[in-house]
Formats: sequence, structure tokens, C-alpha cells
Amino acid sequence: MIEAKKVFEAFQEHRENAIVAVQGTSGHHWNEITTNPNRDISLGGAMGQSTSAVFGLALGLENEKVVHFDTEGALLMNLGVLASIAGKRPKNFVHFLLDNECYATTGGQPVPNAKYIDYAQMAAAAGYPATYNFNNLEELTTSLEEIMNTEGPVFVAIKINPEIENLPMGLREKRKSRSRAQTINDLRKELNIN
Amino acid sequence: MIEAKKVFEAFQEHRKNAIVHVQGTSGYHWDEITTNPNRDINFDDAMGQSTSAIFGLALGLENEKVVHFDTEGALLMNLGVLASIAGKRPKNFVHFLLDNECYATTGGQPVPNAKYIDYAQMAAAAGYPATYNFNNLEELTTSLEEIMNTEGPVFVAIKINPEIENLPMGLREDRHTRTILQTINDLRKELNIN
Repeated sequence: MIEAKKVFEAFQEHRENAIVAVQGTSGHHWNEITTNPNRDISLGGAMGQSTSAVFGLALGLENEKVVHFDTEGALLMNLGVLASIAGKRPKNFVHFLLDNECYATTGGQPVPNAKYIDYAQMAAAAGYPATYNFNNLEELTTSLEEIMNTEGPVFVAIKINPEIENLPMGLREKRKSRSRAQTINDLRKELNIN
Repeated sequence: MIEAKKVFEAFQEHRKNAIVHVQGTSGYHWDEITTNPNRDINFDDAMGQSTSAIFGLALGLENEKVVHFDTEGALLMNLGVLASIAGKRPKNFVHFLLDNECYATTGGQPVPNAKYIDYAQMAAAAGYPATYNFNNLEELTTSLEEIMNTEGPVFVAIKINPEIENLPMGLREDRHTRTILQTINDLRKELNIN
């Protein structure tokens, strides 16, 4: 298992101009690492649904690389989207899955069959032309250049350490971030879309 | 591809006392073939959700064989249930998937990436201990005894010919002979559940 923060640090080296969406709590690491926040987009952590939204973005912006950091708990809520993505084959879409085997944001409840599910195999079964599985930072780091240059859709499953939050939601510090509307507006400006 | 009716005729030979649910339009074939309708159950074709309901029935009735004939269009609406089923491992559950590569009931609209999805591989990736793929009636027929005697959950993907309906829904004859409630009551009586 890999620290989520290390995944984002390694990814940053290969991000270039990609548009990046991060699902789930581990996204706060990315906010500290990104050097191009105008090309980051926040969808408010909508579990399962952010995958469809970012997939739509990739279809609409076919000249931009679009990268989604999904989570296994979120993807399971809308797993059929794998078939839609595989069917449309957005060449510019890179679909990472940070798999911590639990629902960390709500206290670490287990994800069904977490230890035995092979999400990369699922994506391959749905029809993704390229899939990867990582459980080791070094292997991930040395593969990222290839991943970012592979014709999409690419699926990259990564086992990460859970960062479980147990404080009641209402008592948690609100992470400093832009609103969804703000990230969309910033991205539109960045891309000269009026 | 196999005629749905032929699948049910072959299955009937191995049904014994299994409780059977059929999702989707092809279920009317089963209504004409079944010899034990008190052990058939009707969920009014709730796409995606009937899978969860029958899975729950299998967990609750662990001494009964429970068989679900699913469809690919329905399962894609709740694909994450594969992880839940694989995680709970109901030994008495046989999960058939009749894959006609389209939404036949509403006019034959295509299912995303229909020709290239390998549902049995998806089930295996989710953790089903036994999976099968059939595109040929003879192979299915000779394997049914083994399938029905394999410890579940078992997943059996079968390619079937679509039977597309184009008549507006309101003009169609209602094929269900018993209501949901009636099938549940009949099943409870059959199983001596008060």
C-alpha cells in the first residue's frame, strides 16, 4: 500500500497541462501539491457521480488530457459507468482509482469484498484498452510517464493506505478550497471558454 | 447467441426445487415453462434492484437454492452489487445473466460497449468463485448440471437473441399473471413461513 500523498507527488511530475479532478478525502493532499489549480476541478465529492461528470468533461474537451482520481467506494456506487467509458473510448481520459479498501471519510467501514476485488480486471472486462495495478510506489513512479502517454481510456488501480476520519462531520475543520462553481469558472477562464 | 426460451427449457431440467426469479421481458418464456410457479417470484422487473432483492432472499433462505436470471441492461444499473454478492458468498445463489446486448423492452437501444464487455470476467474480478460464459446452447445444456451443483455464488453469462418490443408500453399486454405481493405470499405458503 502507498501513501496517497506520495501518489500525488509522483503524478505531479507528469501532470503537464492535464485537467485534474480528485474524488474523496485524500484530495486535500493534491490541493497542497498542485501547481496549476486553475486546471483542477472540484465536484464536491459526489460519490460515484463525479466519475460520470469528469468522463463528460473528457468527451467535451477532446484536446485536453483529463485525469480523474477516483476511489473504490465511490466507483462502486456507479460501477456501470465503466461500460459507458469503455464504449465511448475517450483517448484523453486517464482514470486512476485510489483503493483504500474502506470508507475512510465516514470512519473506515469496510467496502464489500475489499481485499479480493480486482478493479483493473473489471475495467478490462468492461473494455478499457489499457489497465494497470499498483501496490508499490516505485513501480507506479516508473510507469507514470507511460501511463500519461498511453491512448485512453486508461485505468490505473492503486492500493493506498486509508486515512480514516473519526471526528463527527460537523466538528471537522473545513478544508480551505474553492467552491465547485468557482473551480468551473476558473477552468473556463483558463481554457478561454466564454 | 441462444434463444431465451431454449435457455429456460434447458434450465427447467435442472431446476428441482430452486426458487427462481427472472428479470426482464424474456421472463414470459419462463412463465410458460415453469412447473412450480409457487417457487417463482416476481419483482416487476425493477432493473438493477431485483438483483439486490434476490441476493437478500438467498441470504435469508440459506437452505434453499436461489436462482436469478438477470439481464445485462439491468445489472449495469447496479453493477456494484457484484462486490456485495462476492463479499457475502451465498453458497446457494446462482446468478445467470441473459445478455442480449440491448434494451429490448424499450425498442432495442444499444447497451454501452455491448459487444465487448465480458460480464463473467467482471464477476470474477469482483470475487465470484465460479463463473461461466456461454454463446452456444449445447455447451450450456451439458454444463447446467455442474452449474447447479457448484457451490455459489456462481455467475453464468449467456448471450441471447434480443426480442425487441416496439409497441408503445401502454398498448402492450401485461404478461405478469400474479402481482409481486401474490408471488411473495405464494412463496411464503410454499416454504411454510408465517
